[in-house]
Amino acid sequence: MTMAPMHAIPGRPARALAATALAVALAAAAAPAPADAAAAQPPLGGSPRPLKLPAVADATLPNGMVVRIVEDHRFPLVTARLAFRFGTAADPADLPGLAAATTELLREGTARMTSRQIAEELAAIGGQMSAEAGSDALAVEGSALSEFLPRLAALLADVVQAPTFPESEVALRKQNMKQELMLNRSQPAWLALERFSKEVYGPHPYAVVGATTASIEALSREAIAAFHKERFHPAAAVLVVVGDVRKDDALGEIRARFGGWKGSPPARPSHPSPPARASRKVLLVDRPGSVQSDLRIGGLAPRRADEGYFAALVLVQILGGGAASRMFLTIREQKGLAYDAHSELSARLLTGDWAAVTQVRTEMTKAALEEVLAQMDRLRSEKVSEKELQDAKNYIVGVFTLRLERPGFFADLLADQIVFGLPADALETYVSRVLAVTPDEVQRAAAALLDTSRAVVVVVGDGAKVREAVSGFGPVVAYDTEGRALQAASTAGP
Amino acid sequence: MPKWTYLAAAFALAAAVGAAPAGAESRPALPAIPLQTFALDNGLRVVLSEDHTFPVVAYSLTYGVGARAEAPGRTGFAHLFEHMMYQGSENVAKGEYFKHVENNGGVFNGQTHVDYTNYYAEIPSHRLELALWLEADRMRSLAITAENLKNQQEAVKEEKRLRLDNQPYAKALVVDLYENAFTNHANRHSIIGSFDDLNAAKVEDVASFFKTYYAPNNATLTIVGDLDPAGTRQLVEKHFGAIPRQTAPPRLDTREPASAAAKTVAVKDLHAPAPAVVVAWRGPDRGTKEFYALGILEHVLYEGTSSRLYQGLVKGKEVAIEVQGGMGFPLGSYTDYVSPALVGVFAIYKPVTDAKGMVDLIQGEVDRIAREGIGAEELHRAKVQFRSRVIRGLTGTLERAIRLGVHAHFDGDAGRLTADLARFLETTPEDLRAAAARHLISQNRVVVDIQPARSSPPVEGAQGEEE
Repeated sequence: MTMAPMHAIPGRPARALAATALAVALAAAAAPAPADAAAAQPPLGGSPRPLKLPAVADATLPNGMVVRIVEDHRFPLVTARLAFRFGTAADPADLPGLAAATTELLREGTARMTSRQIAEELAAIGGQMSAEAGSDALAVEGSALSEFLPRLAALLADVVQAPTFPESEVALRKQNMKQELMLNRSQPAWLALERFSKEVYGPHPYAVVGATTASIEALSREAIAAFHKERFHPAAAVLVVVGDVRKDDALGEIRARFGGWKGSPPARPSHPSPPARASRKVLLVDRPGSVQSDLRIGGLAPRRADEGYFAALVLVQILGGGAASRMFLTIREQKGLAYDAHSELSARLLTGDWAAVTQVRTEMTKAALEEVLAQMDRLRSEKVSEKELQDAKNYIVGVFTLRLERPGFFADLLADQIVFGLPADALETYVSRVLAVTPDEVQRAAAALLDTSRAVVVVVGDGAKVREAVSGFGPVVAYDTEGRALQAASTAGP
Repeated sequence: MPKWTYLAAAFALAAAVGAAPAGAESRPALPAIPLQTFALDNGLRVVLSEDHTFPVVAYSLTYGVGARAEAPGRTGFAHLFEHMMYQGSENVAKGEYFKHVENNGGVFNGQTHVDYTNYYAEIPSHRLELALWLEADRMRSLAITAENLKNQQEAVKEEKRLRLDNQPYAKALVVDLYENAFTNHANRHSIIGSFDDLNAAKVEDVASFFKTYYAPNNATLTIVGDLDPAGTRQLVEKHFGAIPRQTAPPRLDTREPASAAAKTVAVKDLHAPAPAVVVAWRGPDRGTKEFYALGILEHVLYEGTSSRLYQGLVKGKEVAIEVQGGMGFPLGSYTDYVSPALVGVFAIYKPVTDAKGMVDLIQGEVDRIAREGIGAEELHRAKVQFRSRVIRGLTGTLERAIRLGVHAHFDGDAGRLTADLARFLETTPEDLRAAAARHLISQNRVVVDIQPARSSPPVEGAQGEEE
């Protein structure tokens, strides 16, 4: 566990501001209020310089694979992201972890190469390859020095088209999945996310955050190979290439490596809806010895493709989206309760969720919960000012622009546009849609999302010490760190 | 300090990958990075690097002070001070730094390392002057009050609870390892410090630290991106020029006895679900022959899935769940320290072996290199990976500003980034073998054996099956 150095503010999750579009020009910023009347004014002259959108060359191969290429010649690198338009939500109910295990094992042996040969070939091209299993998309992302584009394309094609899933690699993956699950269960943030997802989504497949001990045990080479055969097809694939390549060369390599690949996956099955919620509920995950309480408070949110997405994005930004947000300025800067206090929006394909997140020392659990709920209520009862709204929009648009120059992020954005089924002009209209959000729309979004009387409240902490403090916020259901429901007496004891 | 002359130079480098068997090419190892360097009369060193691809600009202000400068009884102070830098200054009220940057579409942060502390931001390029104004205002007139100090003491203590006390393995890695690997106080205490020391910090400590270390002559400012060099120089002079120079900070004594005593310590970890082991050796000083050799050796030993420890322990013997390592371990990388640092390996392992078994396996892989060296193909792969890693680290404008800042500050020349890459790529199989044989030996090693404090989660009181 190599650790990041000590930072002034917590690092943000890379996709916290996931959005799919390009900024055309940065919004003009309103000047913040000066510190006091006598203070010098901040220099805010000048106007935004135009952003030249990187050109995206789109193509669709005859087999249905979508290809998107962006030339970026600043550094001799190339990034290739191959995403499949189905994710862990496609796992059979009794085999959570199947999609993730299959994606991980793609790199562990093909008809042409052993796992070790793949690792050595990657090293020889200055490459890296990662596997990601999201709820709506599985992805393999490779990058290398751009002079090795043909070898990178060959590797990517090989791992998705001809993986062999050797028995020994499956057995090792299963062993390691058990260990990873154990590690996850030692992390309070993971426990909070697990409990929150189960409660918010109920029977919906987004409730599942990973494999269970039983499903890992039940995973077999046959199930994995069958899942691959059924699902990994070019008609479901999006390949984005960003880097120091010429688009005709890249397209030629892609046609040569992927053109002969055939097949389509089955249609997406329908899913049960997440439960409607009539009252607030407190889920307490008892982690004896915890010195902090991890709080995760939230509920459902719009889908990425919904009309209401942009208002929700701005709302969550104002609540806790950055160091200038209400949660950060009150919970951390005014009250000193936490190092990290933020909110996040996860707008996905089928539906979405939002959450306010903070970690506070055990004895401050009640105070922090009260503060988060108060901030939620305030956004419902008081309309935000034009100034605060404009500031939040500036941040969303600015950060979005900063992400464009990072090839991995940009590839991610371009793949997501297809995965989420966004319109073709989503890139061009993104900024104007952020800027168009009004104070009334923010308040309507707050009324729908931030209803404190129906919020899901998850607390991960030392049950014996915090149970009483959290019981004032609603009926409490307690769990142990293995995810098992506890009888009331077992956490109230000495 | 010599006054730097205005220097416009593009450091194009001609060092191709050494001994390339396949795809031997004549293109430079790294694209040219334009650099302009100057210094103000007050000693502030400045490096500018133009890149107009996107309308963004990033800066990093690197101060030559880190946790190693902390006196006994004041551990954690450099990092606490870093938090104080966001609490306001003469023209910027508490909390307004955050708002100025974010509400103009920028991102920012600060980092405390052992040998430096830096403050950085990336922002739309027409807001460069705002960023310089904010940074200069706090260098000139930080608001040092008891109330701000109290508030940030609490925030830092929560950071410690969050990142150390409530996480598996973290305390062993950043506290126990250093306390046992070094004898000199400057090197052996953790960056995060202790609660007692954090509580003991006084407003006078903040004021004196500020005056001693946060002076223009102890700092380097790098600015990268969509900038006009002549105009930017004027802006830097306008905002930073009048900040007075201070007496140079005292020279820090970080000397250690020639070799660490071989040592193994055992710790219990309440949050660890599986046993783990840290194996760390005293590393070489920055810029030495061994420094470059061990930089390449990282890719042979533990970086990436082709590395020997991954292939040998995670695959192969299947005893480790994961293996990680680094120079400057576990915080930062080879480029982040002056001396002395640790080369460390951290492995979480399965209960099929014990700490001694893991240490023997790890040391065995290292000893094999010290004995037999490595072959040409493996060395070539390691160099390609190293070059790729350096380039990856430069693609973001902000990352480039930070990296150039560290080189400019430690090496006196931002161009050392490029020159250093050539040094890394020139290393020979014998250099790697000799560096392993000199540094990565058991006589120069400290081991932290981490055992879970609880064997398994309690089952009593549970009902039903796992959901």
